[in-house]
Amino acid sequence: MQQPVPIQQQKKLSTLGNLVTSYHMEISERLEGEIPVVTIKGDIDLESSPKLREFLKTKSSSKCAKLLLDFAGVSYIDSSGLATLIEYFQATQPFKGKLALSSLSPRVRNVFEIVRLEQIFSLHPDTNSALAALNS
Amino acid sequence: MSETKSTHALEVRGLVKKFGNRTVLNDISFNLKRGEILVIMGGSGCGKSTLLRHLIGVLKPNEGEIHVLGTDITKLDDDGLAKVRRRFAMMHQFGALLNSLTVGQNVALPLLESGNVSESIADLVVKLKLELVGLTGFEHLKPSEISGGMRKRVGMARALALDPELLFCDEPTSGLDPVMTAVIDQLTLDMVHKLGITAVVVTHDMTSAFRIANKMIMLFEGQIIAQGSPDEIRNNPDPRLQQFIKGEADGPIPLKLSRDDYIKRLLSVD
Ligand SMILES: Nc1ncnc2c1ncn2[C@@H]1O[C@H](COP(=O)(O)OP(=O)(O)O)[C@@H](O)[C@H]1O
Ligand SMILES: [Mg+2]
Repeated sequence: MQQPVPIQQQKKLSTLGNLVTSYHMEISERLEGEIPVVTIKGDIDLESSPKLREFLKTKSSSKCAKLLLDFAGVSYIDSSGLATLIEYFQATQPFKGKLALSSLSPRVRNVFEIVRLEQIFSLHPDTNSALAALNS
Repeated sequence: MSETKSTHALEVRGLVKKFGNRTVLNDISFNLKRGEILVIMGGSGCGKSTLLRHLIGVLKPNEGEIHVLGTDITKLDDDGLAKVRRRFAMMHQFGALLNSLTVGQNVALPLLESGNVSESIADLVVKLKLELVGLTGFEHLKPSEISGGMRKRVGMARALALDPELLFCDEPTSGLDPVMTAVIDQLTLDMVHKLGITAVVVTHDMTSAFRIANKMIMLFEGQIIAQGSPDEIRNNPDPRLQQFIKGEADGPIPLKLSRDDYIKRLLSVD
């Protein structure tokens, strides 16, 4: 079922209204058995989250059964990033896709917890425990 | 998330503001570290809101420097200011909600104005922000259909919509009962301690001030008469300061509104 997946690399200047903000977010993917492990690096913010959204849409439209997002390299996530993850979570409900997140820094984890999203998402300390949860 | 990594969120040097020949702010200087809460206190008309309006770049001083998140905003043109503004937000004294819009539309406004957010993402962010302020499920009501305390919280949700690094609040708890005041205070503390943002809060509620402040500034007739940690302020012998602290707080839970709030309530046609 697994499609060859685009690897996205974002490193550019984006223009937002009359302000220019530099940002850097990279998404890369590998397979652990049949589970795509997606490594995100950098800041997930207003400028970069549309790229993550595009990427996750390819996953939901291919009815990705299990997905692991490795957050070890994520230094910051804003609310548009959280919303993007919730949107993917909603999209997986009809086909019962599983999603796990691993290795969130304490600061990033706080962003989830302050709006009680740890009750929706499956958050794990490392990729191994996340993979185990997806395989269970 | 930011290009300028100064350890100070704010550095104000020798700020002077005159309206006509009246000096409303006189030689204001202070620093605020990132991740701290500054409380600005002082009686009505002493210049608190005017100071805030300088910090957000709405007013330009006659003299002095105002460094916000590492940039002297007094030297910026409109484009430069817009770039810094993207990183902070202001919760206005009276909420300043648009009555023709729903609660949800009010909170979504800054997101949609930023031009980078699709409507479905904005809808989800609105839900997250309303959850943050304890108003989950209220998005379809109009401001006129909710209480004053709820409107304040909607104003807070809107200020937080774009995840500012620095949050300015002008009297966020005035007119609120002690329970609702504690709710807003806890929210401010959570934003700072859990998310690492920096906050500047104008208040004349002393219970609230001492509950949240890392640093306090007392303004009197446009001048800073004291600044320091809450302990330093509590122990400062200046009678103007002591009168303000003792005169406004009735112990841990004020049984009466402050005089200003009482009059405001008595006379408001709300
Ligand atoms: N735009 C203005 N033009 C002239 N005087 C002003 C203006 N804004 C404020 N003031 C005056 O400056 C003083 C400080 O006002 P303000 O900052 O609103 O006080 P506070 O917020 O501490 O109650 C008041 O005397 C007020 O009348
Ligand atoms: Mg004022």
